[in-house]
Amino acid sequence: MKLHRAWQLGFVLPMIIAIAFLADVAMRFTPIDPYTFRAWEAMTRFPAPNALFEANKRYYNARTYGNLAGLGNLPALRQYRSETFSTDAYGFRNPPEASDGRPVSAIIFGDSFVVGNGVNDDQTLSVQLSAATGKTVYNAGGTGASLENIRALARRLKMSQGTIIYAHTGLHQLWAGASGWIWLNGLTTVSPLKVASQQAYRTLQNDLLLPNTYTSNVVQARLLNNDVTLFRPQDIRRYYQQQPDDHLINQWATLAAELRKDNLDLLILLVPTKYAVYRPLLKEGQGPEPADGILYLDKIERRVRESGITVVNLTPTFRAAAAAGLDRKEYIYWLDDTHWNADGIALAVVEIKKVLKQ
Amino acid sequence: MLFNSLAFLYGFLPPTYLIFWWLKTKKQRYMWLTLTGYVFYSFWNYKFCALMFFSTLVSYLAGLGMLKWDDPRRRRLCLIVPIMADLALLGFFKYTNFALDTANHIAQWMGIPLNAPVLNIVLPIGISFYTFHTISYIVDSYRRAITPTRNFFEFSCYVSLFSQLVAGPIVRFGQIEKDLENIDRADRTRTLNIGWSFFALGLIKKVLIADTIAAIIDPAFKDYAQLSTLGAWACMLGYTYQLYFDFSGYSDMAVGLGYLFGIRIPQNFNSPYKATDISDFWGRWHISLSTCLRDYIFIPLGIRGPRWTLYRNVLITMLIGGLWHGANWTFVFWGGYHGVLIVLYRMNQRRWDRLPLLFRRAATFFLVLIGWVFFRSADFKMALDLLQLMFSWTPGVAVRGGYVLSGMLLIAAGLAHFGPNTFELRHDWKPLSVCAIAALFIVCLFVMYGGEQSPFLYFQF
Repeated sequence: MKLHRAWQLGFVLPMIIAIAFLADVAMRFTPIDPYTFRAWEAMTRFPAPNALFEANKRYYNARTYGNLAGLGNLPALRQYRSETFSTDAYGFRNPPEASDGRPVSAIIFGDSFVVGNGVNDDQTLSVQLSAATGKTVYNAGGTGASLENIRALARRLKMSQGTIIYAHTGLHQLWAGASGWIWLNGLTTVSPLKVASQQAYRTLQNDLLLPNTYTSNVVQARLLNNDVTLFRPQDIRRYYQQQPDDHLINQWATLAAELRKDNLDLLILLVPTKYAVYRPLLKEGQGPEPADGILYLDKIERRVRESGITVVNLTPTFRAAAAAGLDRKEYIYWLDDTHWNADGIALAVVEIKKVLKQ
Repeated sequence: MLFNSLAFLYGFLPPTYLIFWWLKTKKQRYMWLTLTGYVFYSFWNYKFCALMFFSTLVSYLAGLGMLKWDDPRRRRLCLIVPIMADLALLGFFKYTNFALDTANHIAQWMGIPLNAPVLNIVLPIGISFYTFHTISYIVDSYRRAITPTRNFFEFSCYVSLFSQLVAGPIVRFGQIEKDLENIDRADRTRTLNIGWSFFALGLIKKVLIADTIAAIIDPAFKDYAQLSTLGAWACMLGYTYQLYFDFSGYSDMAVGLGYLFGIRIPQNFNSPYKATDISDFWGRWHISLSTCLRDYIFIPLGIRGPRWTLYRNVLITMLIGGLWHGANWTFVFWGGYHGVLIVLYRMNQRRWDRLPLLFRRAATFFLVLIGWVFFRSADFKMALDLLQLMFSWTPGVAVRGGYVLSGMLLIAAGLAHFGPNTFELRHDWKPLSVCAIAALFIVCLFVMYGGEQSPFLYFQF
């Protein structure tokens, strides 16, 4: 007896494919916030023009954790914390008062360190610096610090004089401003169904059921107090190999000269990587210090000073603070993340404030 | 684009299928399958479409020449020139760096400063397969085993048919000639269920069995020197089954896709791990290749004459077969190893065939597994290290995911040694079986969404 069509593979399997496809498409029109472990991915899906983040969006996650624990698929090493991430009308991470027309005294440019990856809205570098100085500081983290970008933003914020702070971590990241079919790009490149499936599949890759093939994405190292911290392999490589880029320093010198014409001062903030700070505090496995004994950011600092640009190198302060807090297990970077935490940012604010006073 | 990818299931297959059946005439369907074949191929590298077109055109013209001329000299010209062109392409892209590297090693050994530079040559995917398609067409035309087609689109459809294009089976023109001729009269409903059945079973074999095993053993092989004896055996057993389920899974998917378009692609695997001797193994493993080697290399070398010439020809054929698999001496050694085994079997056939069936199957499987050690290894050092680990007791680190690997090995062994292969099934499923296959298909989709996509092993050939 011939079975009804509904019981035949020639009907059932194409139906399954069609349903899966429709489910995938339908889910792309829903927010991806529930599928993300941190704000970054949710906030960058539909960026505002010439910005990295979606405008006027608020993200909250009670159990966010570090990018390195995610990269390495290491649930046991996650440091759970809550994260609130809000953006203004321009797509930058600022409280409402930073872009409500009041005078802005400083704009900070830089990468995810400046954005405040891993900290709450009230803990970012710009907010803490605003609180410490009593001035309005604007967070432009995530956008390129080209002269055109700086001038455009300064005009938009009606900034006639002040300080441009550029935070340099050693990564030459310049995000192009979003343009074109942003909405379509956000829908086609991000599949919530895929994200959810990947998260579920990763739980199977726990070295018991399936091997965890992500562990090589991170380096696990033990501190002198026996806590385990994570690093990116490229941060370790750069510590030993990176050399100052003359082209970059010349760019800064040119930028400083041009900004002076607009009554803007340039301040270079040198932010060390977690490895550069915690390397002396590791139990074992670190290579020898650079042959000339001078760290990358120290060399940058020297060259920038020679160019006549104001510079703050956080490396000595951070190393001292990291060593002082080790026994009390007080850290200035997250153990499971590449980024600094609120305490590390507070320390940076103190150093910047000293220079601004001068 | 892989068969086990969402882009294929969502973006390529539905429009290809729907438009094919919407078109009515032969010519339209030939052109559509040709076009979709080139689109499929272009996802790998669009520049190499020109190479495939060149090979197609040369072989088509050779076929026309065979139709036109009876003169033996002209026919031989139509045979030799296109074959040389195809082999030149294959030789350049696949074996140039192998030849240069070998020359450097020989020169170094002889104390001659050579240092020939290794060229930056990208291997066009599927070139080993579609050149065999065209060569088989030319030779069969020359031998008058088939009548060459005057219809360019029919021939280009045969060469570029996406289901078999990049990893076989190596389908000869005569095997699907009738289906191509009747392509405008194909019955869609009759082949729909069987096509999807083959496709689903192939996908399950590839995604759930082969890729799960690969996910466990590939990291272990990267650090193979740390393996224990048990770990080495587990990994090699895993690879033995992975290779079978990966390749036969792909072949099943290719057969299923062929059925969806009214084309019956012949069987490529016939339960090879049930073989009772090494000759039987080669009658069951990658059947399309072994029959090509037999018909186009072994038989022309000569099957009459003293025994030693027969054995010599077996060795030559198997060495070429090994070389076809890849530009590495380990593949050549693997081919030679199987050649030696076939010769030894032929010499002792009567004694071997009197042994108990279970022993013959187990011994054949064991011999094949040893051969796979060389097939899997990047070089001879790795192969010898693995063999040493396997045959001398070594404590070492456990394989991560060992429990799942053990379970998968049991399932794979059960299916490979005792279960029916897809061509032995009726593909006329009861509702409960349909539910089970559908459930496994959904699991495959989950893995395709959540896991890392892995290509088919035979793509590298």
